[in-house]
Amino acid sequence: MGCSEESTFPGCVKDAAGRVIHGGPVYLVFLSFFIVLFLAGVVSGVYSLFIEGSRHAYGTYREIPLALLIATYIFFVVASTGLCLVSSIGHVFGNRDFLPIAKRSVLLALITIISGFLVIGLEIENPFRMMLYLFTSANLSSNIWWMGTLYMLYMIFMAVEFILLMRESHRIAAFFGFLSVLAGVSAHSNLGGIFAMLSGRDVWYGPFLPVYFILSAMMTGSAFIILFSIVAQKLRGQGMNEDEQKSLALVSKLAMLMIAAVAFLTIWKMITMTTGGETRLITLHETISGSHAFSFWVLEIACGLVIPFALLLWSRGTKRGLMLVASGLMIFSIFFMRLDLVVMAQIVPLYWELGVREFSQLHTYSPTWKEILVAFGGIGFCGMAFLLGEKVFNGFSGIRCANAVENGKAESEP
Amino acid sequence: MTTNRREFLKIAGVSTLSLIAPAIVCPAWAKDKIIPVSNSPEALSPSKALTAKRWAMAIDASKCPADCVDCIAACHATHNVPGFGNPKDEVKWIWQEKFAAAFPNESHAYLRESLQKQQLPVLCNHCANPPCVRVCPTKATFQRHDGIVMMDYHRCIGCRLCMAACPYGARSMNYRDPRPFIARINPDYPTRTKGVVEKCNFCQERLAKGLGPACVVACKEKALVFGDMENPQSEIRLLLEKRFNLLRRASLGTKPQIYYIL
Repeated sequence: MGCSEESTFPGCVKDAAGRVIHGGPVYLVFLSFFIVLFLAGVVSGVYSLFIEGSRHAYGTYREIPLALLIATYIFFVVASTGLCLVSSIGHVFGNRDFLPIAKRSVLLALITIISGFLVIGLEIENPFRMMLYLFTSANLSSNIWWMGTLYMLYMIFMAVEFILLMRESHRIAAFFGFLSVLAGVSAHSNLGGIFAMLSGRDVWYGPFLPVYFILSAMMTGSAFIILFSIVAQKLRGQGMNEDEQKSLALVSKLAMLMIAAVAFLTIWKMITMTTGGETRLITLHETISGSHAFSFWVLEIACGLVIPFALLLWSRGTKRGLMLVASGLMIFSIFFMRLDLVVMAQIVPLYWELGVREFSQLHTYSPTWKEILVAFGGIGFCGMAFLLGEKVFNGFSGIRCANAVENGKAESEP
Repeated sequence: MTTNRREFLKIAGVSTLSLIAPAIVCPAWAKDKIIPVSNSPEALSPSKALTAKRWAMAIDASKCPADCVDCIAACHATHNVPGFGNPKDEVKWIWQEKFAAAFPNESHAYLRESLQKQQLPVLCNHCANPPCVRVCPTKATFQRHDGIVMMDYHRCIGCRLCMAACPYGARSMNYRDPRPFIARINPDYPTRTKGVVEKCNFCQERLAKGLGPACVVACKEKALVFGDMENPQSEIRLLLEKRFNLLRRASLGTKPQIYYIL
C-alpha cells in the first residue's frame, strides 16, 4: 500500500487515509462527486427494484426487455476484459515494454468488473435468487450461466493477481494473470454468445459478436489505460518516467490497431446487413438514416473511431493532451456502441408486417432517469475506486518491475 | 520463501478446485434432485390425467368468428393473468395477431386480402427445441417429457433473456405486482409475484386432472384441437394429415408445436 515494509497494517491504513484526506481540493471534489454518484445509483436501483417496481422505474418493457443497464454492464465487463488482456501482454506474456502499466491496469480491471456486477445486480429482478440458483440449479447450456460463473472466477483470479503484483511476486502473479486471461476471454466470448446464439434475433445471431466483443474489449482496455494513466500522472503531480512514456506510446499504437479492427468489423457488419433479410434491412435503414442515425454516425463512428484514430495518430504517442481527449472520446462513444448494440436488435417487432417498412411501428426505447442514475452509479463506483486506489497505493510509485522482472518470469521476492 | 510459495500454491489450488467443484457437481445433483415434481412419471400419469408423448395444438383460424375472444378470456381467467391496462406491460398467454404479422415471412403484398387480415390466436409454441429453455441460467424454464415448456416462478431471476430469446414474443414479464390487476382470482391456480416471467403452460394443471386446455374447451367453434403428435390415430394427427398447415418461423429450427391450418 505504498508504505515501508516495516510498517504495520494499521499504520499503512492510516498513511493511506492521510494521503486521501490530503489529496488536495480538486482531488477531494472529484472523489466526493463520484461517491455521490455511486450512492445515488445504489439508492435509485434499490428503490426501483425492491420498492417501486422496475416498470415504473426503468424504461424496459415487454418488447425491449434488455436495454440501458444491460448495455452498461456490457460496457464495464468489456472494459475489464480489455484491461486484463492489454495488461497481460506485459506481465503474463513477457513483453517488458507493457510492464509499467500492469498494476494500474489490473486494479482498473478489478474495479470495472465490480462496477459491472453492481449495475447488473441492480438490473436483474431477483438478484438474491440468482446467487442461490446459479449454483443449485445450474443450466450448463446457458451462456449466462457460463458468463456469470467465469466472470466470478475471473474476478477472484484478478484479485489474487493484484495482491501478488503489489507484493512484487511476479512469477506467481503471472500464473494468476494467465488464469485471469483464460477466464476473462471465456467469459467475454460467452457474453457475445448470449446474443450470438439467439437465432430469433437476426441482428445478433451469428459468430460476429464474440469476435467483435474480444476486439472491442482490447480497444476499450487501451482507451481506459491511456485515460487513467494520464489522469493518474496529473494526480501525482509528477512527470511520467521514461518506461511509462514508452509503455503508453505502445498502448496508444495498440488502440489505433484495435480502432482499425473494430472499424473493419463494423463496415462488414453493415455491408452484410444489406442482404440479410427484412429485419436486418429495416434495422440497417433505421441505424444509418433513421432516428438512430445521430447515435451511429456522430457518437459511434465519429467520436469512437474516426476522431480518436486521427488524434492518436497526430499525438505520435507523446502528446498526452491529444491522447487524453482521444481516449476520453473513445470511452464515451463505446458506451453508445454498447447501447445501440443491445437496443437496435429489438426495435423491429417480432410481429411485424409490411407497414413496418414505413418505420411507423418500430419499437422505441427511452431510459428513465432512475435507470440513468443506476448507470451513473456504476460510473461513480469506477471513478471513486480509481481515485481511492491511486492514493491508497500511492500512485503505484513503487513500481520496480522493469528492473525486477525478466520476461515476466523473474522473481523479486526477498 | 520457496516453502511459502508452495504453501500458497496449495491453498490457491484447493481454493480454485473448491470454486470449480460446485460447477462440476451441481448439474448432476440438480438433475437428480431438483427435477420438477410435475416432470416425474407419477405426476404425469395419475389415474385421471391426460397424457401424451408430445402435446401439440392445431388452430383452424378459418373457424374463428370475428371478434371472438372466448379462448383468451377462458385462459386468462383460469390462470390469473393480470390486466395492467398498458400494452407495454401486458402479460399475454394467448392473444390475437393478424396473419401478416404472425407469418411475416409467408406474407407478401399480393396475398389474398382476407388472409392478410385474418386474426389468428397466437400463444407459446411449446417448441420441441425451445430457445428459452436453453438460455435460462437457473432452469426456471424447463421442458417436460411430454413437450410442455413450463416455468418454475420461484427460480426465475428476472434476467428476461428468455423474452429476448423467444422468436414468438410469447413470454411476458411481471414488471410490477400482478395481484391487484387480476379481475377475479382463481384460487385453483397460483398468482405470480413481481419480477418473474410467465407464459402459456398448455394447462398442465388441468391435464393433470383429466381436463383439456381451457382455451380448447372454451372454443365453441372447435377451432382449436389439442392432442398427442406422437399418436398417429389422434384427432390432431388425422386433422393435420388432411389440411394444409404452417408452423411459425419454422426455419429457425425451434420445431414449434402449434400448427396453423389455412
